[in-house]
Amino acid sequence: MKRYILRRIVQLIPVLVGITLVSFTLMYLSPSDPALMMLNAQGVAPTQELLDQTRQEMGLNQPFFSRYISWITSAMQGDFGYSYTYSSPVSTVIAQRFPTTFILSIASLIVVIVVAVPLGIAAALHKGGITSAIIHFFEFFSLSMPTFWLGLLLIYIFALTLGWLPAISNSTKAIGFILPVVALSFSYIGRLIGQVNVDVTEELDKPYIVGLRSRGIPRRQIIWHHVVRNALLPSITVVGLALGAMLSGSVTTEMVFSLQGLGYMSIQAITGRDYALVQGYVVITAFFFVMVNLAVDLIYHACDPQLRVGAKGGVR
Amino acid sequence: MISASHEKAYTSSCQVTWLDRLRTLYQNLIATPITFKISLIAVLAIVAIGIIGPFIVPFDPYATDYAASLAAPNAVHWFGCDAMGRDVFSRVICGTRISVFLSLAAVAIPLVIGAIVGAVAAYAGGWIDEVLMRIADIFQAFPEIILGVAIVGVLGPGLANALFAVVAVMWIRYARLMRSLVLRLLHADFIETARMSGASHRQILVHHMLPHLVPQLLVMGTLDIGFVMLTLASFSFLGLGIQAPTAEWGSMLNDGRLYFASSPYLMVFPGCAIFITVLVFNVFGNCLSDRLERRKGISW
Repeated sequence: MKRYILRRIVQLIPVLVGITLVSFTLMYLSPSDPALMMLNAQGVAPTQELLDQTRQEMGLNQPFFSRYISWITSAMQGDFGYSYTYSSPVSTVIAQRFPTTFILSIASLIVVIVVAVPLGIAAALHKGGITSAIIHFFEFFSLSMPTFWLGLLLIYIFALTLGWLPAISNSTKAIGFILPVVALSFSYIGRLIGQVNVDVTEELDKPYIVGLRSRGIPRRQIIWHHVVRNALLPSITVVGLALGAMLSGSVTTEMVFSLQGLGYMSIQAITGRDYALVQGYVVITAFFFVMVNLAVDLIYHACDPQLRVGAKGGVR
Repeated sequence: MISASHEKAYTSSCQVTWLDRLRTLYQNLIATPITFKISLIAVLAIVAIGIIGPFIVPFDPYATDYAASLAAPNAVHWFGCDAMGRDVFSRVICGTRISVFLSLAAVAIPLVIGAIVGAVAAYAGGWIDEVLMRIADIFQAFPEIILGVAIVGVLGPGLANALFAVVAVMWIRYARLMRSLVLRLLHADFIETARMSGASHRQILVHHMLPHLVPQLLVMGTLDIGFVMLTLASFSFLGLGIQAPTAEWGSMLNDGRLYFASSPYLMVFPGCAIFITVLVFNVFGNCLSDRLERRKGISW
């Protein structure tokens, strides 16, 4: 176990370097001139002389690699630069908005699991019946629903027509999170139902089930003690991926409900060409995602000692 | 042991005429489940609308008529008019082309890239496999559309950049699938035989392996069309993809958002168009994958 943890952490290093390298390269390739943008933001008329001087100060004349090194060193100390649109350091802006997105994502994730897992199991157990047909229909309905459209419909029905819930979410009140959580979780519910359905169905087909039945073990016990437990263990890893989907989906959801989280901020940053903020957002979200997946993998590994690492390729 | 029917199928397959092929096609079509037939027809209908749409619409989707601004659905304008008085029905129909064909491209391009990368990784093995898969790990470390947001954020909003963003996210899935498929075939008897007969690596990959893997790749691609369509539509909705005047469902929803309290039909129709199209492609993809599952036992 210790060796596995160590190996996973060592494996993580190239991924983390890659994340920062990809994010940095993207910004490096961006067509705008950061020096010009900074002067514009400060309200200074950019003369050629001033521009050259600012570039020198910002280290923009340095080669790619030394710029990357200096960026990553300050990033590791929590300094991701300065956001022009919000007039404060990138780290502060992100720290302020993180809780909203975190609550939205986690709440949606919980809703997804609570709804999808029982439905997936039920669909697998009642193959061919009316229950499974209804669940299957719901699965496709949910898979095909655009999150932003569902959000708009929910606002129209529950906020504008019925007036039950607020249309524009205020991140300090729990009631404002109800509609966004429904919208965000809805499309992922279908994906997870499908996954659980396949896992449970595969488990049901395994020969040991016949063995258990021949020994006269009651159906209920076979299903809950053996099938569901074995089938759902691999699904733990899906939770990590689902969180990624929630973080992505939070961008559209927050835009629809004007929820002041990271997603809303990222779109503001993009329209305002605030590259430092976009960069910080991408790196921090990816880092968070990688860490959650590492944690999930380690938990999975702790639960399943039989786990073997996948086959290696190569013609021999 | 070869059964009589197999033998018959074998001898007749040696001398198939076009009439036999047509008959098999017809029999196959008869034997398919009803959902498959309906979804196939629906997919063909949507593609047809995508092709001929701009020629059959009653109004020019870009012609503005301020007298009809925000007109409710009526006999002339079936789906009403938007704030600039453009006919929503015509815009929804014309939007089919861009949504469908952009999504097809956004699946086809990463499919080809991913298939090549995955095949090379699995076939070559060793450090090449390691390097390619680590690169895939890096791209996968960005949660879904976050990388897309970053790409569009830097390169600027637009159709080509949104497409590029989706490709950057999607190729990994196909690379991983292709890698696992090739790995599974790597030591199959017929591949070993081909290798022993002196077939080149390229020949083995292209002529011996690829024909077995194409169905799987195509099915996975078809299953992803709906997802990609939703992603591209949400890019347009966020103003990161296709830009405003273009008749596209996502950006129409974004435009209509300002007026939706008074004119809800502005968001109902484009949204329904996205939902139905994605639904049709999802059901179709699922039917295809069911068929493949059932065929697997025989074909390998």
